[in-house]
Amino acid sequence: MSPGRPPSLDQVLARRAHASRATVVDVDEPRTKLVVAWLAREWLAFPGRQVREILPGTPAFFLPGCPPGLEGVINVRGDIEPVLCLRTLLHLPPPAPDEPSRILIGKGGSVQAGLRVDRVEEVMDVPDSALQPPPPTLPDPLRNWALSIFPFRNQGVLVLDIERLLGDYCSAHL
Amino acid sequence: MVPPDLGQESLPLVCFRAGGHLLAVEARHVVALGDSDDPTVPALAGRLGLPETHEDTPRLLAFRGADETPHWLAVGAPVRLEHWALTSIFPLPSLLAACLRVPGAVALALADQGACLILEPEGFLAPSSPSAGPGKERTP
Repeated sequence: MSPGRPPSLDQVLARRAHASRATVVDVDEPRTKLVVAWLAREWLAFPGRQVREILPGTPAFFLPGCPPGLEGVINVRGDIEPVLCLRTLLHLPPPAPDEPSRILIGKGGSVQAGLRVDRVEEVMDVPDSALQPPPPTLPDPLRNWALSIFPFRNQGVLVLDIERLLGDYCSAHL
Repeated sequence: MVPPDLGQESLPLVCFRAGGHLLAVEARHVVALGDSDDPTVPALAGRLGLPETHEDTPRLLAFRGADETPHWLAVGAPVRLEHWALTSIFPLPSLLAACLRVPGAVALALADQGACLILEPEGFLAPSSPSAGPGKERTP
């Protein structure tokens, strides 16, 4: 196209068509629902299919004989749910006193329990193509629990398998 | 959700303390209550793996063993017969049933002020011979 000469209508429409083709989103791409939580200055995610409910971080009723990480129980509309402190399970420092929290009711296999996190950041649908295998260099216990890693706000965020997490916890404290 | 058939019924529980925690057994498993400072009577807290706190007023409870003989164990006061609404009594969730380190724990009762583990005596009574009781005793 020579400078100074306006494009023809055909050229304009052709450019439009090209641009719209370039921005077409493949809506059929499979997506996975994730619950992104904030815990001790980092994000972690959980498969949405394993999270049954997100509750306020009410204190748990303490019970004697609880192994480390098991805070006690809470009453959820007439049902009892045990509550695990995810910070303890991941060997992270305990929260400051009176720090707000949330409890994710997670289910894995036949075991269901609450997981206490600092806060829930977002519930989002992530294209499966964005989920990559977790790095093999993860330390324990993350190595056993990580399903995948995906980019979130310019960071790599691990997706943890609640079923493996609860299964490992029960096995370790039988 | 609360099963509708629980209604307004209640379950008699003998509540006491051990290792500083509130615990209970079904009243039908308790045959006698006694006062004694006999140091030879074992403490229930020890049987449960809980720290043995030095109670100011230890009480003795005779639990009914599988052989129907009384097994005396020291517990912490107060010892009370309470009727708990069935709606406040829950089976142990599977994670607790798998992980809780208290022999004989079978259920829990939940009230506004806290949780109370409900024990089955067969879980913490040693299969050995029944222990001798205190000099004075009375049923609760």
